[in-house]
Order: sequence, then structure tokens, then C-alpha cells
Amino acid sequence: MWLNIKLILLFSLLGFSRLSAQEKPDSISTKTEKYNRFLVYAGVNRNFSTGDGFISDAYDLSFGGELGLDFMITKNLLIGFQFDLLKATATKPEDLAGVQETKIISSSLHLGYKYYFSNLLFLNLTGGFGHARYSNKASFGRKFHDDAFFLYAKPKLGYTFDENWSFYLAAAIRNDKLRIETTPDFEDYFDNSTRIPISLGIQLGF
Amino acid sequence: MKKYLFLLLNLISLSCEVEIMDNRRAQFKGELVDENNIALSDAKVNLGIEIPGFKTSNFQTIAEDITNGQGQFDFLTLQPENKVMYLRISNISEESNFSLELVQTILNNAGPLFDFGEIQIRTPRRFSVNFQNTSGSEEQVFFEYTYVTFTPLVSDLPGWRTVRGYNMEYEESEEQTWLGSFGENTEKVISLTTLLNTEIKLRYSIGEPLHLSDNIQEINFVIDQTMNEYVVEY
Repeated sequence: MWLNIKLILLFSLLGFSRLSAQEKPDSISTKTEKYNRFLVYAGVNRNFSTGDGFISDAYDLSFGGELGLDFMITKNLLIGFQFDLLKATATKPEDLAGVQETKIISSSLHLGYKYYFSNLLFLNLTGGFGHARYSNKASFGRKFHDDAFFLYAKPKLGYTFDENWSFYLAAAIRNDKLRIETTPDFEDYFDNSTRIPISLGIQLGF
Repeated sequence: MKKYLFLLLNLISLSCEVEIMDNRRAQFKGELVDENNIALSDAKVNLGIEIPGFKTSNFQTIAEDITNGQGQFDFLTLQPENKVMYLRISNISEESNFSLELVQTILNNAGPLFDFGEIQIRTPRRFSVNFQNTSGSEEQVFFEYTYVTFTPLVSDLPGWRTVRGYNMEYEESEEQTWLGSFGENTEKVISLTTLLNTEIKLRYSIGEPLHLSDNIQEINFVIDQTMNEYVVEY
């Protein structure tokens, strides 16, 4: 239900943006540096895990996706939220108590600073926090989940190629603190995971 | 109609699926030793649950391990929600042949560590006596034997109940007396499983039941090996 509402809002905003663009043709420079505006972005990412926790030890991280919305409070400051989805396949299910596949669904809030190299090139430095749900499929039983709180930092380099459109390349570092209750022997293994998603995407301002 | 049937089947299959606790990984560990405190290696430790079906229930293994050289098992598992769990321990080999099953309803507030400590297991000893006819004329053999029945578990595991040594005949170690007879022209072998350092008392008579016979033979066998095979000639 919430997902549907969010999608409707997103498409409404996109529609509104197209109307605005038609009404007020503007130069790229004024558009990119304008504030009090929304930026919606979507991208795909490839994830690389670090550390010796369960994610880096026993999973193969495939491609993921991200979808977010930023609001430019001032010319340089932004606030936003983001959804992420990542599918991970277990390479050592025996080390994961039989988990075979995990979908990590994340939602987060972030604050950022936008630096303009030129009218076309910009850098976003964002930091945020959020909740992740690890939806697990095991060799038996129904799906179950683990919860995590995470923090991340994400520099995003963007290039504006149209009045409203940009594409970007981002590399985040993200640390998930898992809520898995286990024994002291396995606490360190399941305690947290750190990964680096490298993203490529497009961004639309309106 | 097909739609409702499909929906019903889906609902039934969903209801049969096991609920797994969120945010939980349980650890089962312990150490198997025999009655002389010698580690039992290469024993299979299997943790499972019973899944009810339409007519019969199925046993679903959720984790298993093999004991190492020190007799230790240690495995990580997902924890089913409020389920009856079965821990099956077995080692079917020439040297140590045992199998037992422990059961407990594991509630959500139990765990995540299930440490069994030292589990002392009796390894059974096999006994057989073969009556061989040397007289040339076939006759019935009447016998009575008393022995200690085999039960695999020595230790008392708090919270866990021994269901049975599965595939074993008895639930508790106790002295049993059996009365029987072999007909003419049949193989005359008594085979049983008992414990180390126990005695088997055998009384038999040829041709007449024990209570009528005035020629009863008595033999005491001391069980001191893995296989105890004897021959009685009559």
C-alpha cells in the first residue's frame, strides 16, 4: 500500500516537472543552481563488501537498485530519502545456518552538501542513516527476516546534460549494524557488515 | 471451483510451512563420550522438526553435524518458532553402534545457545548364542535368558526427553527375562544387544519345557567385547 502511494507521488512529481519544463524554458546554469526544488534519481549499483563479517564471507552480492528523492533547501544544502534493493546469494549456506538467498531492502534519510564545479558538473556529499530489512530464504520454512540499522556516506559526482536531467556516478560506504541475536561464538560474524555500492544513475530536477 | 481449490491448496501448504524466528541464529553444541569417557567421533548429530501433513507427518532435518576426533559437535541453525525439536544422535559402525532421539519443545525464549555439555552414551555390545545339535536327532530347545536391555543414553539432559533409541527395542536399561523355544529343524540362534560388563544368564533344556525338565543347563556369559558370539552344543 505504502509502495503504491509512493509510486503515485513519484509519477505525479515527474509529471509536474515536465509541465514546468514546458512552461518555463530555462538555461542549464540557472536550473542546476536553483534551490527549493526536488531532485528525483534512480540508479543501479554494484556492491562490494569489506571486512570479515557474514556478508563478505558467505554472500555473493549482485547488482542492486536505488531510488531517491532530494530536496534542495538552499543552493548547496539538500535533504532526502532513498530506497535500495539488493539481492545477495549465499555462497556458504552452511555458515549462514541454511540461508540461501537474501534480499536487502533499505530505506534511509540523508543530508547533503552540493558543490558545483561548473554549471554542468557537481558533487553531492551526503550522509545518512536508515533501516534495512534482510529478507531471507532458507532451505526450509517460510521466509524470515533480520533487521539492521545503517549509516552511510556517499559522494556523488553528477553531470547535467539537459535543463532537468543529469547522470551521476556515486560510491558510498555503508555500515549495517545487525540485530541478530546469536551466541558469543558468532556475535562478531553476524554483528555488522560494511559494503561499498558503486552506483550509476540518472537524476531529474523539477 | 478450480480457483477455490487452488486457493485452498495454497492455504494448506502455507499452514504446513515452518515459521522461523526473525533475527535469531541458534547454536547447538555438545560432546559425545562413551561410558568410559572416551570421545565418540564420527557420530551423526541431526536436528529436525516434525511437519504435520495430511495423513502423516514428515521429519524435516534443519541442521546436522558429524562429531570430530574429540567427539564434539557444533553447528549453527535457524530457530523454528515454538516447535518440537528432535535431536538424533547415531553412529552405526562396527565399533560403536548406537542411536538415540531426544525431544524438546523449543519455545521462542529458549536459546540461542543450546549447550548439551558432555553427553555420555552407552555403546552397545552384541551377543549371540547358537545352539548346535551334535546328537543327530532333532529336538526342540526350550530356553530362558536374563540380560540388561540396551539404552544408549547415560547422561540426564535437563529439559530434553529421550524418546527412544530409535530402531532399538527398549526405552530404559533394565533386566529382562525372556522365555522361548526353538522348533525342530530350525536355526537356533539367540541374538540381542546388551551393555558392556553385564552378564547374560541362560537356562535351557532339550526336548522338554523348563518347568517340566529335570535336566536344565545353566550358563553365565560375561559381556566384555563388542561382539560376543558363543556356541552351545547339545
